[in-house]
Amino acid sequence: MYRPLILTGLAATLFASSCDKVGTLKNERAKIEVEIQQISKEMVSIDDKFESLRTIHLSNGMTLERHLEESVKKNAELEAKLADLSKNCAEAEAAMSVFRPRLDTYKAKYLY
Amino acid sequence: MFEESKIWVTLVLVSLIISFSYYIHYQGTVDDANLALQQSQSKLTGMKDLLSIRKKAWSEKERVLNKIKAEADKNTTLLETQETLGQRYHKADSDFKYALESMRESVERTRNNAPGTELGEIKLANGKTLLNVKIRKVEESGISFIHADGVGTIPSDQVPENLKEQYDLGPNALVSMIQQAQTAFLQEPGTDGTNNTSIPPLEIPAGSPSISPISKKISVDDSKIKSIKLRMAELDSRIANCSGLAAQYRTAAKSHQSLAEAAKYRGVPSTRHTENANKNLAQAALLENQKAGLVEERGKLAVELDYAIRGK
Repeated sequence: MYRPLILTGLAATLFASSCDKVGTLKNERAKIEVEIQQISKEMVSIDDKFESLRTIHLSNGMTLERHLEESVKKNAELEAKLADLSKNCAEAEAAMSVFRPRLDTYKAKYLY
Repeated sequence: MFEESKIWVTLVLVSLIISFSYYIHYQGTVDDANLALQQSQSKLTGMKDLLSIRKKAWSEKERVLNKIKAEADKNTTLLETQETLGQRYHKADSDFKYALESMRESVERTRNNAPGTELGEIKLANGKTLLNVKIRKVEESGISFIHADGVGTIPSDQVPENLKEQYDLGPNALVSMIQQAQTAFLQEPGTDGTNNTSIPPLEIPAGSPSISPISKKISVDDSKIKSIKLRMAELDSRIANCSGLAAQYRTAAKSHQSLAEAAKYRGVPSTRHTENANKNLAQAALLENQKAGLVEERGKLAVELDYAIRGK
């Protein structure tokens, strides 16, 4: 006599427990959505950084990489020229340190 | 009893139908939730990949920016060194000019005073001895003498060492050595040719995130100020040279005046000393005039510099 009642109760229990699975899936999805939002924020931040680069004025519309190449090349040239100039100045100063006393000696000996 | 059992069967059947309907509905809900979850997971994976690519691209850009910053800093240091070297170059140039001019003038005076100087006996480089030698004329190529055997010009290389030194003759002549050193110095490039190697300024807006300013702009005003300062440094050096030389001439004039007075006191001719004193005083006056001109020019540059700084 109680068999149908037992069957109905069993079916109701099964139904109730199945609802919990949907909730779990929804929770999991919500966590993923939060993660997606965080990644989106990071993407926006990086995009802003890239956008700021567009406002940098580079002569002749050259790229940053090209600008770097030019800078390295120009610095190397300047460095080489300054090394030559420094050597030239040092040689001139050394020569003058020899000539000056000879000049003074000459004047002292033959002019005064 | 039979009726009751029919009711129960009906109830069970209705229950089964309701349960089945709910089961179908439940399966649909779970499938929907699963699909949505899968879509979200797929979106997350895609975004993670994209973020990783963007991060990599940005780190590459940041690396380039840091390198540019380093190069700009290096360029600033090099330009400062260039300015210092420019000053050294102009000073060396000015020193050469002064030394050459001063030595030429001194040698010319010594040579001009030489005619009539009696040397007695001199021995030439080839071993020949000249007696009763008197200098007639001194030139770059050699010295013309009047001696016991007549008149003759002795080439520079045959002239005794003491006369070579006194009249600055031969390959070791100081004037030609200074001239050679000056020519060698001027053959090398100065600072003028290096101006075009400054890195074009890279300006990054102040609001830009995580990027510091990369380089200072080297404006036209800076180069103008630099050029004025260099010219002023050169003038300072020339003014100092003029002052030094004028003081030397004045001292020499005083010395000759003392000699002239002593000669007068002893009753011997003092004309030569007086003439030398006058010549030295004239040179000193000339240098003072030159110095005044340079000081005036420096004053004008100081005004120009002031305007350039204010304009900046």
